[in-house]
Amino acid sequence: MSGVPPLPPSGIPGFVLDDTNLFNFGPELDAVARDVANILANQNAFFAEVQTSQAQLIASANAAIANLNTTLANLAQLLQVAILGLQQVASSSTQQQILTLLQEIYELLAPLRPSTIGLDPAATATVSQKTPSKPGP
Amino acid sequence: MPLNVLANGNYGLQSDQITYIHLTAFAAGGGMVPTPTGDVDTVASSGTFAASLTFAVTTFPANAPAPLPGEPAVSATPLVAESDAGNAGGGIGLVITDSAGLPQAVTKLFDIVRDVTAQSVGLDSTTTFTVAQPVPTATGP
Repeated sequence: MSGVPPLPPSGIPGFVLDDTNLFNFGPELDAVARDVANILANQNAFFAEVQTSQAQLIASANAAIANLNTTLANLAQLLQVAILGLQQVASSSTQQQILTLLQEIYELLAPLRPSTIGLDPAATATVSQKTPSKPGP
Repeated sequence: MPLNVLANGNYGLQSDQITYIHLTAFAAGGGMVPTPTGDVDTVASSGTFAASLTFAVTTFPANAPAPLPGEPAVSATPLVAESDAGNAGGGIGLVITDSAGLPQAVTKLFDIVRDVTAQSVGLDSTTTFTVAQPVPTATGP
């Protein structure tokens, strides 16, 4: 009986990563279990790193999308000016074709063109003033 | 800092502050985009208590948090100490007119509230309560 290690409380050898129980499996299995525990710890650190990187990637992507939207909206404005100008002077068929092409591109950018004007309630700042003497309402 | 939304759904503006709010164009998809080149906007307050709040088109002041300084803004200046549900006022509207013909995105109504930030601690001598106890044996003083 001396060479047979006792089972850990769970009854499933190798599934309990507890030093007290692992010690009973002898130094070799104990070393393997420690390696597994190290791997799991490294894996957790790796997952935490991945999550951080993922958040940074999403933030970068959102910023890039915002910049792209602004650039495309500016492009739409330039196209509008070009189309209005070309409409005044286009006479040859080639010029008409270019005008049509620009108009098609302009229409493609419709979802990014300004459609309403309003307030962004998330972006505000305040400056103190003396409380008005009139009580209201 | 986002605008304070009151229990009645209106934006609450403190009467001891001038509030600057970002003025921007929105694309059909809802994203913020630059206003058209040469676009000019004008603003006015509306409703029964319009005279209690003045709106103006301006830019964010230099001491606003980055990246807001210099960006287009609407300033809201309260002209009365309070105009809200507490004194049967508030519900002041904002009307934006855009030279490029952009319609106004839906905006909540505005109420003017007093500054309720705690500044000091003390006793309210008008609200008290007593419980009887035996007269202390020590004569004093």
